[in-house]
Amino acid sequence: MDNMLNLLDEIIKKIEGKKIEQVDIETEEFRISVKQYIGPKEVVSSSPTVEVKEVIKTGEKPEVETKEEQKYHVIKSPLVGTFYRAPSPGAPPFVEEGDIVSKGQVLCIIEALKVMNEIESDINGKVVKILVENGQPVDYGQELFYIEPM
Amino acid sequence: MIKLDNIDLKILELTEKETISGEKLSSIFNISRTAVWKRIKKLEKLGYEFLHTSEGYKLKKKTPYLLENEIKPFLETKFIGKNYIFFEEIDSTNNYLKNNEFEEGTVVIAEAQTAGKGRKGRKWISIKEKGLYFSILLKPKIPVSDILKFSLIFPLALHKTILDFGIQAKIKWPNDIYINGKKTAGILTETDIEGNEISKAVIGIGINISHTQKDLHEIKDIATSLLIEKKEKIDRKDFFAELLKNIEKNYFSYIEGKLNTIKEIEKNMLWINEKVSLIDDQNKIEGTLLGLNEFGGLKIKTKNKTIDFYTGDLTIRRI
Repeated sequence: MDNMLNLLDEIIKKIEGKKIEQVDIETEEFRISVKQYIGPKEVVSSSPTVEVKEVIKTGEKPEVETKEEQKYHVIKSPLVGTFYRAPSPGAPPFVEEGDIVSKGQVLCIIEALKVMNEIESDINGKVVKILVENGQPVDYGQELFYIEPM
Repeated sequence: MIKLDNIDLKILELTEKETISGEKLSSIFNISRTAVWKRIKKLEKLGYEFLHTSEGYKLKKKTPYLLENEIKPFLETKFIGKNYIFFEEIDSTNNYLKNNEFEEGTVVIAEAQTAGKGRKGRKWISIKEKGLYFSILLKPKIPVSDILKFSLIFPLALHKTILDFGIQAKIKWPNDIYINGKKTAGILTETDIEGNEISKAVIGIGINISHTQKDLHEIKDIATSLLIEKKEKIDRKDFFAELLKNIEKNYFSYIEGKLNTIKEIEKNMLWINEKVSLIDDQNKIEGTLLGLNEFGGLKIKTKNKTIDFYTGDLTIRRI
């Protein structure tokens, strides 16, 4: 029994923070099934959310203001460096606008001092906007992605 | 992954002392004589050399490969290398650590890499028994923005180790080691960052140790090895153990706030105060190399101003 609990503990540790939602192990003696809650709903995040107010103005007609309020999660650059959307030159980008991403998924690489930093999403959501172009330098704290939490 | 089991290790221990017959070995371990023979063959394939006589087997020479059982007696580290994984050949030791979960301090080493990585998908050539190609997994509890300053502990450790072996070397920004104007070691670090945490830092290090001019053939004008520069053999095991010790020492010093990597790099930096070029993609900047900024970026003084850089290839300007 202890062995089984240890095994269970190990499995839980192994899948922590990963996209795996279910692990099933079946032997003659036992069957273990582990499910992981991977969101969406409430996501605790250190990065602030931004309010984007979109104001649409139409020509000469009486002014109609449409306020579209959306709460986006912002991924900021945690360091200075060069922003890359793909793992190597010529490779397809990690993500495109409109892609659904999960917590822990790589969004981009920021390179500095020959350190390749893979920046991962800290929430589950949809990539609404990519704010920096491939190969551009980024500053500490610069906004990189808007993610719509899901 | 290659790891010798207890029977292999015991066979090595016994045959190192004296000649032992296959029959005796088979009775000691309670395995068939064929099984003994198979194990000897396996050990020979891994580089061990045995004398085969009518009296039995005698270990003649230990393997040059950096197997765990060969390197462990030399290690003086507290946690780096405690978990040690050896491959005769692998695509890339960095990839292996990136794609699997291991404890902090895990070292993956390969005699040869089929897809050794450099910056921007460039290749690193590896030759069995000649170089050191390995990666270390670390999970430093430091602010993400400090990762650049932190990453400089590795070229510093490498530089110190080479110096300990009596060779004068310089650090080429950000982390290559140069001897007499030629590259002898390179580092590529890859991290996973989520939110404000570095969940993983994989440091890949490649060093040319015992390469001859012939081994380096088409790159011999830009690359060198410790053997070529020192003109005498350097034991890979000694060097590796010393390097891991120096890396761990720097790691602890940095965490305790006792190591100013920026200052130390500047002391040992190649081409400081000289006219240099920095090339990145299509851009080329020329100026005087002033040193490093607070993040570890390069400060270059051009005609009009001083600019900071974080990526690019540094070269000396030849007039």
